[in-house]
Amino acid sequence: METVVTTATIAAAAVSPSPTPFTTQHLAGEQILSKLHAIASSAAYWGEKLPGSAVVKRYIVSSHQNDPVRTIFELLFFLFAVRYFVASRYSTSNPHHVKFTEADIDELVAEWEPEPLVPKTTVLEELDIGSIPLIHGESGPVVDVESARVGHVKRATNLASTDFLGWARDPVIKERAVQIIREYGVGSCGPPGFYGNQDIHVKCERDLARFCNSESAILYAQAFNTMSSVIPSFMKRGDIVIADDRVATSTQKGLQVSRVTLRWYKHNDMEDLARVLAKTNHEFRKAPLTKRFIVTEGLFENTGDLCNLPEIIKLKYQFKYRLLLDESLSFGLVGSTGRGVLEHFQENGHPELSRQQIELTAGSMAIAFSSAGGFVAGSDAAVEHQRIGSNAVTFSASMPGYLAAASSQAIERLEEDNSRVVKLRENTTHFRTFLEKQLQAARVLGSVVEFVSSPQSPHILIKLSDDFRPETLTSFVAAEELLQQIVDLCLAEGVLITRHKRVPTHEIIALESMLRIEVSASLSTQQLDESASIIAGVVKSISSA
Amino acid sequence: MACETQLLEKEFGRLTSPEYKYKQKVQPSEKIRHVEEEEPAYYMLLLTYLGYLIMIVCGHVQDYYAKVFHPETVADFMAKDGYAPLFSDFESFYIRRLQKRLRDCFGRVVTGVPGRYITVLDRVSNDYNTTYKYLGTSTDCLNLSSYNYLGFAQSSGQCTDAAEVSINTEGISSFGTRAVCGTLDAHVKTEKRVAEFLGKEDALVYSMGYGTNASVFSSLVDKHCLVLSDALNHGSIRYGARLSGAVIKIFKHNDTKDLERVLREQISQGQPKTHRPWKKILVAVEGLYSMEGTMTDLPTMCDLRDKYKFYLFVDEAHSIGALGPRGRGICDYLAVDPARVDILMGTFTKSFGATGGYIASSHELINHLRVNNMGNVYAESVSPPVLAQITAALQTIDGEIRPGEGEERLERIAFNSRYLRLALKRLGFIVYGIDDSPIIPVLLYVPAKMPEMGRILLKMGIAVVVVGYPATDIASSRARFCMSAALTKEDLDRIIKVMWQLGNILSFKYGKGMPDANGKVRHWELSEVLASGVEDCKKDW
Ligand SMILES: Cc1ncc(COP(=O)(O)O)c(C=O)c1O
Repeated sequence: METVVTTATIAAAAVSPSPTPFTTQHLAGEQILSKLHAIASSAAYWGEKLPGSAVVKRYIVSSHQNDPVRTIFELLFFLFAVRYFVASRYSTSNPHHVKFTEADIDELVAEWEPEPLVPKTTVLEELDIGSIPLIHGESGPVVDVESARVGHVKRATNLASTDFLGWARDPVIKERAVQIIREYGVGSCGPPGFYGNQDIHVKCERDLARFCNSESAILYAQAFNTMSSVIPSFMKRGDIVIADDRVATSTQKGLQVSRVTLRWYKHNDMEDLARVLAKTNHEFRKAPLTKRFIVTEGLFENTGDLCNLPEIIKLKYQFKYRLLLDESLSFGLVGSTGRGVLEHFQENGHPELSRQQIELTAGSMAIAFSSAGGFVAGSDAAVEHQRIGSNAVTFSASMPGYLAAASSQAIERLEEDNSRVVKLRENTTHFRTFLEKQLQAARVLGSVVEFVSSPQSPHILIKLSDDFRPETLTSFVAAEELLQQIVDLCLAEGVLITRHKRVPTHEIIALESMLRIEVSASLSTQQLDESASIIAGVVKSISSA
Repeated sequence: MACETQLLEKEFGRLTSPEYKYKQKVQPSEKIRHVEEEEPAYYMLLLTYLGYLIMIVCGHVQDYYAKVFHPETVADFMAKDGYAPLFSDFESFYIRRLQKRLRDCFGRVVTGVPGRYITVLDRVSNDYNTTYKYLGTSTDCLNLSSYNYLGFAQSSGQCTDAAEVSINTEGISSFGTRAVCGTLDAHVKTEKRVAEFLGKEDALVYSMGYGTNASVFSSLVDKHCLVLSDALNHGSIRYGARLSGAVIKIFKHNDTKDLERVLREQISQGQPKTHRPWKKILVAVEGLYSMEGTMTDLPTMCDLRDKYKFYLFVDEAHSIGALGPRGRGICDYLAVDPARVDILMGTFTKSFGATGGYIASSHELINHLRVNNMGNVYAESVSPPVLAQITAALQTIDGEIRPGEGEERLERIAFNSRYLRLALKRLGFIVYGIDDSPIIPVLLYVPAKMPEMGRILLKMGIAVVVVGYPATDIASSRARFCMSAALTKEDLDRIIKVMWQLGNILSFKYGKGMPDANGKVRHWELSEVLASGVEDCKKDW
C-alpha cells in the first residue's frame, strides 16, 4: 500500500475510499426520485444543447437501423467494460486469500499472541543507555557533566559537542535570541504555508542563499529531517540514484523511503563511481528517461574525509546526472570562510567550480550556525517545489523565529570575519598533530588505534586498528564496549569525548566502531594539549590491560 | 504604559465577562462516535468537479501555448539535453496551473507574535503570483490561523520570562544529539513534567513534531508487523509508518467497525504470502484531526485493543492542552485511563506556543527509544528556551504558577470554540467536527471559493487558513478556523458578522441550519444568532 511522501501520492490517498460526503441514506425516497428527475431532465436538456450531441445521436440511431445485432454487441461490450472497472476496484483477487468462517476467525483472534511492543534490550542498547552523559547547566568548552558509569565530573573539556566554531555561550547571539522572543514569542505556531512564515525566516533563507551563493534556500525545522525529506520530494520510484556507500543516516532514510532505483559506489572511489555510472546508464539505456541523481556528502560524518567534488562534477556532466550534496558538516568547517567543500576546492586548484553546478545543497544550522534546523539551497524553482512538495516543510510548523534569527546573525558574522574558521583550522591542525605525536610516543598509533578522518577534519574519527585483536574483541558490540571504556577513562580525567554512536537496525551501510573527537575553535592550545595527552594515556592503558 | 497594555491586548485579549467561559465536560463515547457530517446538494459535487475540470482544461491550453510560444517559461518541466525534468508532470502541472492561482493565500509573510492578532505584511503580485512585491506596510488581522489554542504565543508573561532566563543560563542549543552529548538537566526535567502531565511513566521530547512521528515507527515495528492507519492520518504518521518498512493498511476515517473488519481479516490471514501470524499490530490514530475537527472514538478503540491485542498509538498534536477539563487531551476528555493507550504522542507547537514533539509511554519503551530512536541518536536536541516555555505552560495549566490563569485559558478556549461553531452552524454553514473541537472547518466545496474567501477575509482583517486538495479530499475544499483562548467574545462576534455577509456574497451556506425555538430547522438571522449564542452554546445542541 502506498503511503504518502509526495503530492502525487496524496492524490492517490485522496481518491482512495474515504467517507464520501455525498451519501444518500438520509434522503427520503420521494426526494431521491424528484432529484433524479431533475437531473435526468437537465441532462436531456444539456444533451440536446451540447455541441456534437446530434452527431452521437445520429450515429446510434443509424447504426441500430443498419445492424441491430451490433447494438447488442456494443451494449454487451459497454456492460463488460463497466463490470471490469467496478470489479478491479473491489475484487479480493489475492490468490493467497484463505476463506474463513466468522467462528474460525474468532478462534484465530483468540489464539494470536503478538510479540511485546518493546523488543528485548540488546547488549549494545544497555551499553548505550548507561553511557549517555548528562550536562548540568549549559553546554560549552568546559562542562559540568555526569555519567552513570563515571560519576560526576565538575569540569570536563568538551571534545564531544558539535560546536566547532565556538558559538556556545556567545553573549551577542544570546542577546539577539532574547530580543526576538520579546518580539515574536517562542514558537511560530504554524507551518510555513499557513501563517507560520515569519519575516525572520524569510531573512534567514536569504542569508543562507547568499552564504552558499545559490539563488534560493528553504528552511527545515530539524537538520536530521532535511535530507530524509528532500530526497523523496525530488526522487521517486523509477528515478535512479547513485550514492556513496558511507552517507549519513538521514540520507539513507531518504533513499529508503523514496523507493528509487539505488546503486552504491565505493566511498570516495571515483573510478568505481565512473564504473557504476556507466553500468547503470547502460542498464537503463532503453528505459524511459527518468531523473538521475548522484547523492553524496561534503565532509562525511561517517568517515571524516571530503568528497572529491571536482571529479564528481565532471562525471555528473559526462553521464548526465544531477547532484545532491549534503554539506551539513562541511559548512563552517571547510573552506577559508566556511563555505564548504565547494569553497575548499575553488581555493585548491578548481576556481571554475560554482554552486550552480550543484543542483541541490543541503546543510545544517545546528552545526555551523549555532542554532538548530536544516536547509536546502538551490535554484528558485527547486526551492519553490519543496514548499509544497517536501513533507517535512508542508507537514510541520516552521522553526522558532529566534533560532532562525540566531542563524542569520551567525552567518552575518562569519561573512564579516572568518577568524572563527581560521581558529578552528589552527586548533584542528595543532590538536591532530599533537595527538598523533602523543599516540606515537605511547606506541599505540597504528598498533592499537588509527585515524579514519583526514588530517584537516575537525570531526576526528579514530578506530581500533586491524592489528589490534585482543581475544575479547570478537564483535561489533565488544569493540563498542572497549571504546566506551576509553571514553569513560577520559571523562574520569576530565576530557569529554564520545563514541561514534550508530543504531545498527537503522543503518543500511556497513558499521564501524569509532571514537569521535570534535575540535572546537573555542578551546585553548593548553586545553587541547592536555586533552590529547590524556587520550593517548588512556589508549595506552587500555592496550596494555 | 497605555501603549504597552495595548500591545499585550494585541497578543492576548482580556476576558470581557465571566459569562464567556465554559468548563468542558467529560464526554461519553456516543457523543463523538456518530458525528454525521452534513452534506450539500448533489449539484455542488458536479459544480466542484466542473470547477476542477475547467481549471485543468485551461491549464493544458496554457501549457500548450507556453510550450509553443514561450518555451523558456516551461524549461524546468521539460526534458532537455538528456536530463529528465526535475518535476514530474502531474506535480508540476498541479503547482503551475492550479495551486498558483491561489498561491497568494498561502505562505503569507507575517511578523511579530502570532497571538490574538497576527501582523501580515502587505504584498501584491503583478505577474499572476509568480513574484510578490512587498509594499512595506502591514495589516493586523484577527488571528484564526495560528495553532495557538491556549494563547501561549506571547512576548511577555511567565512563559517568555522563563524562556529568557533559559537563554541566559542554558544557551539556545546543547550542541549535540540526546544520546551523544546533548542531554541537559532541562531536558530531563521537562520530560518528567510531561510524563506526569499525561499520566504516563516516562516521556521523551524531540525538537520537531513531524520528526517525532517520522522516526518513532522505525524503532517499534518492522516488515513482519502491521500498521493500521486511519485514512486521514497526518503526513508525518504516514511517512514514519512507511519508513519503518511495516505493512500498512488503511481503515476508513474514524470508523471502528471498518477497523474491526480489517483486524479480523488481517489476523486471520496473517502476513502476505507466508501466512505466518503478524509479529505485532500497531494501530495509529490522531486524537483530534487537524483538518476535520473530528475525534477518535478512543473508548471503543481501547475495547478493540483489549479484544484484538494490537498496540495503540495516539497522536495528540491538536488535542493536548486544547481538550479535556484539565487540558490533558483526549484521555481526559473521554475519561480513558492513559494506561490503555500504549503510546501517546503529541506536539508542543499547538497549545504551548513552543515547538517539537513528545512520546509518552512505559519506562521500558522510553528506555528503548532513548538509544534506538533516530530522533535521539542523530537529531539535534530541543533548544533550552523551548523547554522552558513548555514547562512554564504546563505549570500554568496545572495552576502551579499564576493560579487560576490556566483554568481560565482552558475555559476560554472551550467557550470560544463552542460559541463560534454554534453560530456558524445556525447561520447555515456546513461545519465538520465535534462540538468542543477548537478546529472549526467550514466547507466551501467549490475550489474557486477558496481564494475568494482567503482574499476577502484578509481585506477585512481576519487571518484564516483555506485548504483544498491535496491537503483534503478533492471535493471538500474548506476554510479552517483555529480557535484560541486569546480571542474575546467580541472578536468572535466580528467574525460571525463577516461570515454572515460572506455567506451571502459567496453563497456557501450549504447546510440546513439549526432548529429554532419551535423546533424548525432553518438558517438563523444574524441578530438571532448573536442574541442567544452565549447561553445556548453552553447547552447540548
Ligand atoms: C497530527 C499531527 N502530528 C504531527 C504534526 C507535526 O508537528 P510539528 O508541526 O510540531 O512538526 C502535526 C502538525 O502539523 C499534526 O497535525
